[in-house]
Amino acid sequence: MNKTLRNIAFGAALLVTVAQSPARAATQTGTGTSVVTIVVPDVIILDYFTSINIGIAGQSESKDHGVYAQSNIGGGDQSFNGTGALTTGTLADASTAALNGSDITLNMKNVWAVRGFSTSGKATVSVTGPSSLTKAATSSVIGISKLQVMVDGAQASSASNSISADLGGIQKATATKGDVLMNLNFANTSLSGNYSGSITITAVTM
Amino acid sequence: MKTPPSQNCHIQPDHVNPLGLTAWITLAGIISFVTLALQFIPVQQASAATISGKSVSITLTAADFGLTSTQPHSSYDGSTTLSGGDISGTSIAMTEGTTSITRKDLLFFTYADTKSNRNVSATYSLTRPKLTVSGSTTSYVTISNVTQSKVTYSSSSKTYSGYANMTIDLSNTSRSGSYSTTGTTITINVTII
Repeated sequence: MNKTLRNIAFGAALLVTVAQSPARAATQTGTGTSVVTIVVPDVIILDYFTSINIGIAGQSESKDHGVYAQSNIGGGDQSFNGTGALTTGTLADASTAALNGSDITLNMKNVWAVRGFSTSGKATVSVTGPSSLTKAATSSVIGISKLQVMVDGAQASSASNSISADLGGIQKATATKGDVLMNLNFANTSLSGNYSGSITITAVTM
Repeated sequence: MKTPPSQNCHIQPDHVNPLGLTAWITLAGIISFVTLALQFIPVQQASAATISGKSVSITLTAADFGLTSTQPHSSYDGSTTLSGGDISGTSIAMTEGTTSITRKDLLFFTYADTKSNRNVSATYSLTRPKLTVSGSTTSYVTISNVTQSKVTYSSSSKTYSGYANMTIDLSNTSRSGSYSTTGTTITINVTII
């Protein structure tokens, strides 16, 4: 009889438990689809140097003009132009182009880099600058001409004051690196020392 | 009347007596009653789960890539002679741009329901997660990951809103413009309890 009572009690407890349980919930699933749009802006990153320091090695040349001769030297002080005296016409041109008035071309490699995004994937890179580098408080100058930019490794004929360069995205590994070229002329240079001037490199998305 | 089969298996002839048989009959009856009782407890039916996928639009800015438009480097030092020529000076030590960008709490779906205490969760699956831009076959954006962030309920609109975090990758992107999900689908499976 006791066992019967236990069973009845167990059943009653079970009923109470069931009565206190929350109502069974229904699970449903649904599916939706989202359209994703990502707007990538024009972005251009120009890497450049705030200071470009180029050291030019000193150079010397000597020219042998043969014999300088003078006869009939008097017994006192005198000046004379002996045979073979140097004149403007007889001076020899320097072997180095820069020293005989010709332009020389400097190619400063990898002084700028561009990367980013544009509608064409390209950017215009241009360079501007002064006509000469100056030495402070003097009239001695180094003339500048043919200031140009060029993609590093490209044909020299592609150099110009304004070029098109691939942007390649935002990563540095895909950036386009470039050179600055300039012709220097020392015809109006008389002093050694530091000469300076500012050039501006501009990159614009295209 | 339903009786669990395991109970019948445990009944042995030696143990059958009027008292024991009564006990089993009672228990079986109670279980049957309980089973019957469950059938009468009303089930809280969720309404039809109509999920509205929302258009997701991300507009990036230059700041997202961790770089400013000009990256100055201190000094390029090189040397040459009066003959001119190529100068290989200091190399540019460029800073890497960020190509993996995560936007948090983007609204991906809504689900209308008058009950505010549903347990709503979602999973997101991607197919062909490559977004393209008009005019280029080489420049594209990849969606690399979408994960649920939160689900909120608005009592005023009686609507659940599902938000997710989305990570995109621009390591193969070179062009600006609007990249869209041509051929790309983000499927949202939403479970409502």
